[in-house]
Amino acid sequence: MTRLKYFFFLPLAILMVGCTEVIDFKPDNVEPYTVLVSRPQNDEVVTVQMSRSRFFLDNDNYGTGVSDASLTLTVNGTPYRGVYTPSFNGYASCGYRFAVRPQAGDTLTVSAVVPGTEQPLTAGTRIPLTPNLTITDYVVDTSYYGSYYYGGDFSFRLRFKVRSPDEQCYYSVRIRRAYNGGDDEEPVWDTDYLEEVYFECNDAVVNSLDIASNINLDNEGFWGNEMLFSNELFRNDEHEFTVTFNAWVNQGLRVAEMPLYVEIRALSPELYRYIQTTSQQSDFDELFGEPVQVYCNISGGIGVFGGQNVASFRAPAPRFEKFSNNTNNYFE
Amino acid sequence: MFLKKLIPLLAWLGLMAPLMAQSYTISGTVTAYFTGETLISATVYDMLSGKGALTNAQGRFSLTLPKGDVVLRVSYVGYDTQYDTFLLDANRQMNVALVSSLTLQTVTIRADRINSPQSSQMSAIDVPIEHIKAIPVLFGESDVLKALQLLPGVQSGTEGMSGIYVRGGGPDQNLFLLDGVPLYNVNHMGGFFSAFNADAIKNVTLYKGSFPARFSGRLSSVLDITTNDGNDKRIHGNVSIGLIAAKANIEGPLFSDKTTFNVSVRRTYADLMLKPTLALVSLADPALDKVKLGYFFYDLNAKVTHRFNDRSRLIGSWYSGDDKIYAGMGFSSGDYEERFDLGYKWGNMVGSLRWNYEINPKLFMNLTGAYTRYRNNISITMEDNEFYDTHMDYYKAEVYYKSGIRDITAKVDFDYQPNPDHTVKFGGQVLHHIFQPDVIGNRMETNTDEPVIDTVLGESIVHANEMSLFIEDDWNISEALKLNCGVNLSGFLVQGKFYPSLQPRLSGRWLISDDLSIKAGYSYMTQYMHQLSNSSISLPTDLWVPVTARIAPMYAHQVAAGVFYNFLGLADLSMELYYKKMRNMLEYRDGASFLGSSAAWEDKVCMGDGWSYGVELLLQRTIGKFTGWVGYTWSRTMRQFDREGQMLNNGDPFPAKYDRRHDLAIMVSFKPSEKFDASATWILSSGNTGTLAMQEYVDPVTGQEVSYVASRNNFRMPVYHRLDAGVNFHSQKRHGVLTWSISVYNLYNRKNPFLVFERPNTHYVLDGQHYSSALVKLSLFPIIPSLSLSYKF
Repeated sequence: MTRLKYFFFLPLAILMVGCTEVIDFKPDNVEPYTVLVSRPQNDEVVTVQMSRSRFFLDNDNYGTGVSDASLTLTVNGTPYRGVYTPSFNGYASCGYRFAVRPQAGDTLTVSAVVPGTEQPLTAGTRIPLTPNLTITDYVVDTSYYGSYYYGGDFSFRLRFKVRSPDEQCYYSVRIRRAYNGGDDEEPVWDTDYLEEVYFECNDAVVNSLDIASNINLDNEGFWGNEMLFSNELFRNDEHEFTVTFNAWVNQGLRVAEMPLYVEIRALSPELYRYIQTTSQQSDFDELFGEPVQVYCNISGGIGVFGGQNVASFRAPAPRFEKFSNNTNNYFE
Repeated sequence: MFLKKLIPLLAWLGLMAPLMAQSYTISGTVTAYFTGETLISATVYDMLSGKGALTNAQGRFSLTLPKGDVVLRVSYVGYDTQYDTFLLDANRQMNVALVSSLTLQTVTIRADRINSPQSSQMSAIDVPIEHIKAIPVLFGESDVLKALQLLPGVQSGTEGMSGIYVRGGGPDQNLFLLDGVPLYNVNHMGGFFSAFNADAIKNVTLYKGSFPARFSGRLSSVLDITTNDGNDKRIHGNVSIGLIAAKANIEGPLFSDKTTFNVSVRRTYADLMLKPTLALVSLADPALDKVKLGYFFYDLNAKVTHRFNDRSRLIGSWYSGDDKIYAGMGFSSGDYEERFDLGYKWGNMVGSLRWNYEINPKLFMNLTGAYTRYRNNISITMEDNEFYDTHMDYYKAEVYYKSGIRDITAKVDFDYQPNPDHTVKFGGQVLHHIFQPDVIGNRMETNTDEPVIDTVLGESIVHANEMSLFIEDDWNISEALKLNCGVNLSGFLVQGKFYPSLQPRLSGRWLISDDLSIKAGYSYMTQYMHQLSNSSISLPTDLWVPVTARIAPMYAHQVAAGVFYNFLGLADLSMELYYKKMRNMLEYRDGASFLGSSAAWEDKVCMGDGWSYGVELLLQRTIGKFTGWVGYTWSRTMRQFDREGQMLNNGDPFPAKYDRRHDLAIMVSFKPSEKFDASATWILSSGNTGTLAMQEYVDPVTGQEVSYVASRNNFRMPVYHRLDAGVNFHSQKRHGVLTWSISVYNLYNRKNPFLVFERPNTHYVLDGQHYSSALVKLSLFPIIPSLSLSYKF
């Protein structure tokens, strides 16, 4: 009878033995792709970044810049040659600049010949029309719960109204915050804690998976996330956006000014889809879900060549009066 | 009222034909002699006229022949054939009881009933329950769906899972009928076991294409399962205990031989074995109170059949099956006590009442009322009590989640055989669906000053009505040519929108010789509901949702053709080619996640098209000590989502997740004597597809690392193969037969992939200080022996 227990434990023991095994994975092609990334903007010098991708299992390879490419940009049929300029953005890519500032409505094509590759990279886009969005109103509400010594939660809301032209457009909204530095005498926002920004748009078609997009701000102004939407439902109509900021404010806050810049970008369809898919990919963490396929409009390579047109307005900063130790002493 | 008028009309219809044709009808029931079970698809054949009929799902037959001598042959594989000679000069009622044949008791696949050269039906497979029980499977637990996965045209999903993928269709495109009533969740334990207890089942028929017009509602397959009626001679049953579950079945006459019952119950018992350990944990720490933790599933099948007379029967059947996870723990410390409880329960319940009535010898009616329910409930409760000198503070928080679907069904169908050349089936049904996608409730109460919170969030209940009318005729045009033609008219009413669908069905057989035939068929199917699932695993959180104003019904056209050949009565060979085109299929958008929530689900899916084509070969031997089959499928299944705003893979076609080029299954059974039998299965198939981002780069504008996916499902997992084997030792005891069953799953311990993922820095190259990641497969089931003991009395 005592041996009977082995009957139960043996299968379980076997079940636990070595359930993972490395696959001998040899895909047909592990060679890097040539990457071209550019977001030409109205009234801005066009810059194209060139690099090479890395095979996903090659951990030591961080990609390399492509410095020997020959690039040609045509704006409404007029060609311009690209000039290699060393990259200062810290990433493994090489920048090429063109002595042209395209205007809204211009049609652009780019062609890049890279030594060692069989076919040139080509792509096309258009600089969208300037966003015809009218800021008609805004309201700032503030609330704060915290203490001088421990810091606390801070939030405010910003509302603004927009008017969209009577055509299908793609937009991106980003909020920038001016950084006013700081020292012991003039405390600033705690940069260790990222702030959260929630967008609400009552009836707009938000072409991301979540209606409320989270935006993390840092002291550089903005990074990564932004709110993408199309004007499909409020075409030629006013629409109100509400942006709610929630932040952890560091100890010692007395007075803080936070001028805000609301930046509205009209996006070409190419750039819209690229931003949308890269944003989805960065948020993707499902073990069993379908990986996100990032949009690419580069023939002969990967990346994006998508035009944009930026308009922005400045919203007045919410002010916070100096408060004493017993003001809203939520934490004490 | 309507029925009162209809029955005389139909009776007249049945009686008029023989008067005009000077012929008479032989009708009755074919049953098994020792058990009284009705036999489905038994052959009743007049050897003089060459006319015959098959028994229907209730074991009834009707054969109209000209006045004169008749030599009637009644046969059914596994039973001794009976002959009867008489002069047919009046309508004749005869019930035939066939005796089980000792020489043919070896396990056989009775493909000759449906998939034979003689039948007009194609793309259908009839698997006897004895065979399903004999196939060695995971943990030794016989499983209907896993047995079907061994047949050509039917693919398994992920390792160990019970889901089936038929001819390029998804797992939600299969209609599972238990005694004619739809069942929505057919899995236990996340898909490792199916919800069908083999002890309760009499007959399993799978239709993969050329669907008869009486079936509707799903695109890819119909699995028609009939449960046992119960022995009308004596009480008998069996009990068994295996590695993870114990089962019991009892059947027999109730009060008299006019009423029979059959009850089967199955339950896993791992949670019961865990209880002593948990009791010890509670004893070890006095602060802990009533620690509980466990998982189990059970299913219960019950059926009562009452025979009023030879023409009328009433059948009540019941199925309930649940999975339950539970956990709980209490903690107390002087003036403070708290308790946490979690309960997670999901499962089906099906109840039906049927009345079989022979209106006249040529016309048979089946009237059914049914209720089916699938529910998925989670509840979490937390309680805190704080004791003070003068009073006690009390807090209780409760969160619950509910989702499910309920159906109320009413249907009537008729079998009408005006003459031996026509077997007409017609009828209709109405289903009222009640969808409850998901509801989350939150309640918090206390005896302190804090307010009571009681909120309910979630999608509202959706009511929908599905209705269908059908008529089909199995028509013997000539000795060689036989046709089954029909039409199904269905409609779906949801949220004020009505979706109609006219679905023609056609299949034909050309009998070149007694052993060789060619068949072809076409079917059009429409499906009005979808299952939202987050993964390839069958999770209880998978949600059924109806079509909506935005999401249109899916539909499919399927054509198939095949050759069927019988080698001297020793073996059958069939080859079928098929092509299926599917429209309005759903796929999840990149990065979409449901996680049990249907909120805004229409925004998370894309609608597109799919197609599948392939060839299926089946070679089977049904006679002798060695029986079994070899099934092989070559297929290709593609998807394309190129509609505006619903694009996937840039609008280009891509292989479906379960697109497999090759699927081979060999099943061998050996039964040298009544005391011993053995069986083995070997499976070899191409790996499933998956999506891998094989290149990465950094976007220099945003600094984000971008993974570049060249196309969806661009990666194929390693080849899957596995050998399972089992032996059964039977010994005759005083009151029954004792059987020891030993089986081994994955005999040579093949590590088949369940999941593939990237493991960083796995390889280290010394010379260049070079690291690289590796792809790693996770395997769930290595070699698993199992042992079970059963006693049949």
